[in-house]
Amino acid sequence: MQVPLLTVENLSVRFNMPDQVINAVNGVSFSLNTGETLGIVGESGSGKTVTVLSILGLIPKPPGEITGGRALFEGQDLLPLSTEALRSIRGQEISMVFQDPMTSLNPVIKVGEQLREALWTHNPSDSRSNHRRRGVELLDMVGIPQPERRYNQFPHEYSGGMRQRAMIAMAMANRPKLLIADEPTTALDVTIQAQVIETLKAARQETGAASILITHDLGLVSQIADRVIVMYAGRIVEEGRIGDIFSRPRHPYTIGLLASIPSITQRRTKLYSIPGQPPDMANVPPGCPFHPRCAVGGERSVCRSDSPRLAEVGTRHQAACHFTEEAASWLTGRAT
Amino acid sequence: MTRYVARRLLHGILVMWIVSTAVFVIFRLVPGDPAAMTLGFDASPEDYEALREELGLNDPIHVQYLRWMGNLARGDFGKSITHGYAEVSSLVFPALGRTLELAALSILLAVIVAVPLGMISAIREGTWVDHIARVFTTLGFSMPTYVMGIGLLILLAEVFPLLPPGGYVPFGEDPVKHLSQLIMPVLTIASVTAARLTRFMRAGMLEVLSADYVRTARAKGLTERRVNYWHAFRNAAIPLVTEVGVNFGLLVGGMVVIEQIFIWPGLGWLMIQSILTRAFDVVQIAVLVSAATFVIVNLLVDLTYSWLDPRIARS
Repeated sequence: MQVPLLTVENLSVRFNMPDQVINAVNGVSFSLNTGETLGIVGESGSGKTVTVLSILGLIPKPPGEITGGRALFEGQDLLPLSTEALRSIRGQEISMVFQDPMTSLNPVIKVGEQLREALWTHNPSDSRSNHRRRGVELLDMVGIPQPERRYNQFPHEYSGGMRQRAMIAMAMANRPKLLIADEPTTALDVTIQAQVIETLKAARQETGAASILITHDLGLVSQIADRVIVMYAGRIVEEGRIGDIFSRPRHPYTIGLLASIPSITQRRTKLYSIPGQPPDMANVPPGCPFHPRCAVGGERSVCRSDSPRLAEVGTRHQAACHFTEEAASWLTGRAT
Repeated sequence: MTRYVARRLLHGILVMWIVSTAVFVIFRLVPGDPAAMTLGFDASPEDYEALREELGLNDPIHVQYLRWMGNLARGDFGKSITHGYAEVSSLVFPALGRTLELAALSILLAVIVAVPLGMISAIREGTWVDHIARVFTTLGFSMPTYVMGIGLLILLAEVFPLLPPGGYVPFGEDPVKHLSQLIMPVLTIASVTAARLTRFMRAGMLEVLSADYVRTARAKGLTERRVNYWHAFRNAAIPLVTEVGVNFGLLVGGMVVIEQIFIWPGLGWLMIQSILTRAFDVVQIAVLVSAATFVIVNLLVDLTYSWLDPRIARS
């Protein structure tokens, strides 16, 4: 059996705020193989971003605190590592593309300089001109026109899409084994989104990196991910291969998410929306955190008292629901 | 960039015009007129009339105004009647030089203390370094300069007579004494300014440290030192330049009390002396020069700012 590139086991993260404790991530486990693309889907505040930031030690501590779990990258647990030890992982083995390209680049440092820095910090012995040449090459690779000229420009001279490309170039600079993209297109115009996704795909192909794509856009996930994790209230509620998740979702939340995608083929009079609001992370409902919004379990007492565990519902397909069978038939009922 | 500089220059000139007009109006609105102020109330009507004629106060107001502006434009600041017809500029500019010396040294010391202290305080937020720095800044903030000044005087000139209790000897005459006379006023001003700047630097760094691009820098695998002292500091330093400039400008016009305590014959001291001797012709120019210094400092700050922040000059 293949040894996974990254294995996250039982990761729990909380934020100790002055007046409350927020359990942002609760016992999240997943693994990722070399070359594989994993999608992590969920609403804002579901713990997607905190999960991946914790792996790289990038959550602010305090108030953040990793309360348990392991994150094995090529067999090495990253969570107990010092900042200095993590440095050789960050940007070299695992790199990240962030959500907002407008604020993720340093406004007073030239883009080329920021790119060169990513190369230099992991290969300090290489010459400045080599770094520069590689930097221009990278800008060219992500499709930035006139890379020589753009290399010497400041972020504010770039458009949003171009900035995100520059971020991708920076992330790919050291040919990482894992690329994490945290909502890479959310802050961009729809017309630019597709281009950036293509750039990401190309970059991934070029380097053969495994990737994690965090998004709330199921459509996007279906385009590029091999497997999907659906998160809700800091927990994984469903996990499976992309085809299974889309054709045979077993968790009512996943089903709700899928039902709320507008469809071109089916003309619905009214778009489905999951009732209620995402939970207040400081006051997560007892039992299954989704029960107040659930169309399947709803008011049943087991849902209100017991938090369901992830259980097999098919081949490499897991869901955390007491009533996965009913959920499946609820879906069939709706479709007809 | 040239357009930006031109616009800023024009702006400065406009401010100076408004200030000089205001000075002109104020000195003609004060009870009595400049002639009465100069001579006092017991002067004979003949002397009073003669001075009025000499000062041109019998001319229509617009003629007086145009003469005033014309003289200023030519850099002619007039002669002071109360100072035996000495050139006003020969009184004001040396005083300005002495004030600038004091202000510049104080600011320099304040920046040298405040920048590292504010940065460390922010980077080590919540640790003992931060707490000590905050006690220091709160103290510096809440203590009026004259308390600090008089406290230093008592300590270093009275209890432990290490330094001269004020006064001024030109550097060329006795450099050691000149410098020893500078120490206390510089310490006094710098402690207050350093407190202000430390607090500013700390707040600026804290804000920048939680910025997305700092996270990006960390995610790239840069060292903490590089992240803090390069990525974060460069951004936090930009507003600091303005703050330093504003503080410097305020010092030039706000040195009245300190110069009085340490008998430092700067601009503030000259203003007080001139008011006491009714040398209104000196006071008005001193006010004007003080304002001009503020405008020039601000202009320099803006230009530095645009040089530091690539986003400004181009927009």
